[in-house]
Amino acid sequence: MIYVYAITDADCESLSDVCGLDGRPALSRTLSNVAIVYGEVAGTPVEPSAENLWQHEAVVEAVMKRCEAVLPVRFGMTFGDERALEDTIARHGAVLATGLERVRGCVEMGVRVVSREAKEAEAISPNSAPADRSGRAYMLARLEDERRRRASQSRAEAIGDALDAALSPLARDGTRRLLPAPHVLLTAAYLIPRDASELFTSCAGSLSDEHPDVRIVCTGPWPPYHFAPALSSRAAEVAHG
Amino acid sequence: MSAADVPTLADDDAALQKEATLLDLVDRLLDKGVVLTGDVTLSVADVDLVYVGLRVLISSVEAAQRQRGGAEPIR
Repeated sequence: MIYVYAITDADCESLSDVCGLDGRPALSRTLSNVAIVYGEVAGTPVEPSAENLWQHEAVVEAVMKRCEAVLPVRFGMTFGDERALEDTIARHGAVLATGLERVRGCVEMGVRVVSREAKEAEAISPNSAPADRSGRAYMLARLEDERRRRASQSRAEAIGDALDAALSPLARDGTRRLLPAPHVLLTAAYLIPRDASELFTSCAGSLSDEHPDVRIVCTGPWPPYHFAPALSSRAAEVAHG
Repeated sequence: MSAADVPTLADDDAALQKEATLLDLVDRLLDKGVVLTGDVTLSVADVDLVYVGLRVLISSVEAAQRQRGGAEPIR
């Protein structure tokens, strides 16, 4: 099976010393004026183990180091034969080329804002049944849940706006998600020039000092996963559903 | 428990950084990136197992670090 790691420029440097899944070499092939970085895997399904995820990521990051522009491919994309791969790339060549220009010279930084009140929140479960089982107690509990939800939403929006005000000037693009998980106020991804990652991390650190009620964790630099193009209506549903 | 066994704020931040990096890796590789119209060889059950596996991995790494009394380089 052909396993695809990334899309990059047709004239990208050789990947002769790079290995991916199953220890097999990463290969490159030019199709429709872009280079497809791929490898061969023994069969499907490809297990999403921590080891395999890091091996996939290692190949994409190797491409990112060697080339100005890289579009990381989602984990697990395989093709039964070269013809199927060629047809797909031919169909989406223009979108992929535009996508490469969007991320050229850039990396992605991740930001995660976690409430320091996690332990308090755990002690007050929104679904805990009140000792008083009357209808009135139930309604009061639900009203309190809604009040907490709105307070969390406001808090997440406020910190998100502060993050954007400080970090957007450094970025070509950005995206965020409010309240993605319990105790996580927001996650965000920023597309920044490669040489700005240290400044970005420093700015995020300063923000952390200004907001002692939360923890602001910065990760990266990553390949630009959040800024990869959707290729078709079906792909868009899968990617953004 | 001695003072050396008590996790410090720095240990806490290091653990949070490591956890955030792993979670961000999983989020990106399994939910973002270019979706080619090939065969997606991943099932929902596989994704759940990844999260469970990562939690176990994080816990075991943290436990090993505490025993050694040192911190690994943070990504």
